[in-house]
Amino acid sequence: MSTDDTMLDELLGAYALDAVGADEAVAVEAYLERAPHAAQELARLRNAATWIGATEALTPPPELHDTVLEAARSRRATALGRSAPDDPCWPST
Amino acid sequence: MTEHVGRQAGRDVRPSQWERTTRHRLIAGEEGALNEIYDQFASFVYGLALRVIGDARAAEDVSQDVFVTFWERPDAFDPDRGSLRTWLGTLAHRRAVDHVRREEARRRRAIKDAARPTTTPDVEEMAIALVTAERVRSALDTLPDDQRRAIQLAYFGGKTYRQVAEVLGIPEGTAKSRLRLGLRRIAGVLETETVGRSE
Repeated sequence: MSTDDTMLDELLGAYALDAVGADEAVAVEAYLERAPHAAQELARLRNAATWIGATEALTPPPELHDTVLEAARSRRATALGRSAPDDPCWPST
Repeated sequence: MTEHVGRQAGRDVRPSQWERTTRHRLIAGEEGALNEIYDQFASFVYGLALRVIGDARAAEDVSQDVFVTFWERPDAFDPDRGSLRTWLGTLAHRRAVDHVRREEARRRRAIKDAARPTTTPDVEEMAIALVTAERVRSALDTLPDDQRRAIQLAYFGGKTYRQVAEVLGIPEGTAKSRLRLGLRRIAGVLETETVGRSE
């Protein structure tokens, strides 16, 4: 493993927390495509981050439910029959 | 034998049947599926967004954006690569951090819980989620202070690791490794019991 790769491995925690700069995010994402061990570690770390986030769960104001449904309905026509653009969430493994 | 629960890139457990079914129902444009997802994950998405942004109105906007994004592109969620919770949480966190980084001034204010009766589409999963969140809370308490502080600044404070290093007065490399080590410990706790699986 090259020094660069080691440095990218060290960034995985920060990346899982959305705590890297834009250039670094690009570098990490390219790295994830060619390094399965890194993609696997990221999945673990991101799962951990998710559950840390879940400790803050809080019931939203009741009207949010209707707001979401109305927004969804208004976009329903365009939503169907359209292919999804690039996945915004998963690392590109 | 195909009984292989192999670690696919994104997850170490197989996707739940509920996730697969719900995703298909969303692809078919079924509004009831969106309702179920909302009831199951609204508190998670909203609570996370609120914690990061500190503003109720903006947290609602982020939450709406997350659910409508999933409604519009349910096929962007690949159940083989991670849980729905992680997918929604990753999206919510990114949107929240984007918001924080756009807004220089952040307002934090106390928000009172406004409870509302909801349907509970997957009671068992929701119960597991409560227990798991509680375990993670305890695990966070047992993390070394320096790791916990770094994670909180980054994840809830929306700071980059460079900013974390600056705030804590530590080298950037140290900030990076504290974030990684801390998350690894939490991941380890999640993996020690089956209840730690993510939905």
